[in-house]
Amino acid sequence: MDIKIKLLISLFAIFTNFAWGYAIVCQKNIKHIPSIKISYFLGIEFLLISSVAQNLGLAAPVTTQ
Amino acid sequence: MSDKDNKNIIVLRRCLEVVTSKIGTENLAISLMVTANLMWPLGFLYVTEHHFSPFQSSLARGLSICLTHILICRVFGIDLDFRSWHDIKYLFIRNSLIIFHQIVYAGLHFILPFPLVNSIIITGPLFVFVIDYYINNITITKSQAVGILIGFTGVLININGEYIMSIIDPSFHF
Repeated sequence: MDIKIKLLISLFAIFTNFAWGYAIVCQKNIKHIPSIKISYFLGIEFLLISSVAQNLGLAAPVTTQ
Repeated sequence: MSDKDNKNIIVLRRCLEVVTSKIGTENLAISLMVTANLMWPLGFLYVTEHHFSPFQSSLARGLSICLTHILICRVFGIDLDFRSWHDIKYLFIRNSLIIFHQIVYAGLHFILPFPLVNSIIITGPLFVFVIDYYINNITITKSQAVGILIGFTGVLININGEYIMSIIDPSFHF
């Protein structure tokens, strides 16, 4: 793969890291839910989003570059 | 029965008290964090080697999170209902962003080298300091600022490791 595309992908990864950082800061606004419930809800969302993606055919095996 | 009266949670608290009195709370937290951080990339390495797509690995992850958390909540008598819409709103934003990040992270392993992916990903906590400063006005202490600077420099060196090697040793090609 071209080095410029890899650089763009790396920059996109840094952007997603920024989004992750915002999510962690956002957690401070959640006052009455213990961490175990937060993780449980994360699991449910993981299941829902991945199930939809699986049905859309996005979950095909991937080859490594 | 509330989680405060649960026998298992009382036993767990006693166990934690014994362990923390011996090795200290901070040491226990650090050792658990180090163990988790070692296991986490290994899990992604496994699914990448077996060519699972990011969505397949996320599906397995979601399933294992749900099952283990239901079991933990059952054992320790923690109810799984949510009572505040305010909390649910932020919970949804938080988890959606984390899932977006995690699916991209799982997909990156198929494109970029493994050390590079993990070097990029560990910059996340550095952003937390900066965002927390701008949103919640949490000031960054001098030692934290030094830590951020060292961390960021370390990541830059790690990402450009091969380039630095080629400067040091002209016979090295990347």
